[in-house]
Amino acid sequence: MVKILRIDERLLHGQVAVTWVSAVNASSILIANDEIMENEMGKMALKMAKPNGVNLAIRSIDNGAELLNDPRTKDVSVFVIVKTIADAVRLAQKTDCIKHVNIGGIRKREGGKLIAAAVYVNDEDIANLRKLKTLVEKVEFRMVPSDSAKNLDDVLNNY
Amino acid sequence: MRRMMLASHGSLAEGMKSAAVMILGESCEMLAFGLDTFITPERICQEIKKVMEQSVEDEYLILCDLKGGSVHNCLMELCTLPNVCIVTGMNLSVVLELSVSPPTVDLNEEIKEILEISRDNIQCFNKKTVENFKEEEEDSLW
Repeated sequence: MVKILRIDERLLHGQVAVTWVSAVNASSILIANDEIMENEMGKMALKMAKPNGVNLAIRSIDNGAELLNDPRTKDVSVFVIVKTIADAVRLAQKTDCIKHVNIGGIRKREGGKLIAAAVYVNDEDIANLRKLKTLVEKVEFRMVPSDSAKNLDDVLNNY
Repeated sequence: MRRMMLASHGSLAEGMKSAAVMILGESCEMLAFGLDTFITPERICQEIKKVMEQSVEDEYLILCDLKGGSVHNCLMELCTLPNVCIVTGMNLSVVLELSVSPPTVDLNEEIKEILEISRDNIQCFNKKTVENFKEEEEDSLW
């Protein structure tokens, strides 16, 4: 089962590995990202960031969805990471096992506006957030588990 | 409450704080005292004491850049207080770990664990480690 899907521009990095994986008690991590599949060195760096004793799979969005839909995934607790809100929408459209989305880090880009700690969104992201809302049960903004979470409706209303 | 203070040569403390804020957001509260700004270790010690006098109930974690450096040596006198803990060899990993770890009852036990994680953060990567790593690649959820 999927414990939580995290949107983080940096994918798997120290802070995520240290705080979230233990907070949600995940036994496996799935990184779903199309670009990383072409980047051997990038893939290896992510594998090195993996906490000990946890399984890690790195897949494209399509193959990631396949992996999540595999019946064997029901028996493990998975922490899923994608890079962008658009990727989260794509993944959530291909599998119904994602219920809870955490948004932890999106870098500032053209038209980006700070809406939560370390999360910058533009108009396109907002449109995707509205889509995401219809696909999953809960979307929250929170960098580390010990922070208090901001919920999606508050963020959309204030944008 | 637990409060963190960084003390260093040059402006390392301020720079360390800036890096931590970049990763954790503005909500992470820590004070930084570098010798560039505060000139002498004694002055840093005075500033830290001033902060501590304002709330004697709090726990103070003081991170110094260098064990046995003038700043650390000068701050050692604070260790006689029961609510003070000094950690030397400050690096970003230890600052982050201490910032995000939920406060537990046993601060010393917690710090011991965090120092282990942060020590493990200091590693060397080169051609050989990269090649060895490639060989043991495995990739699965189950």
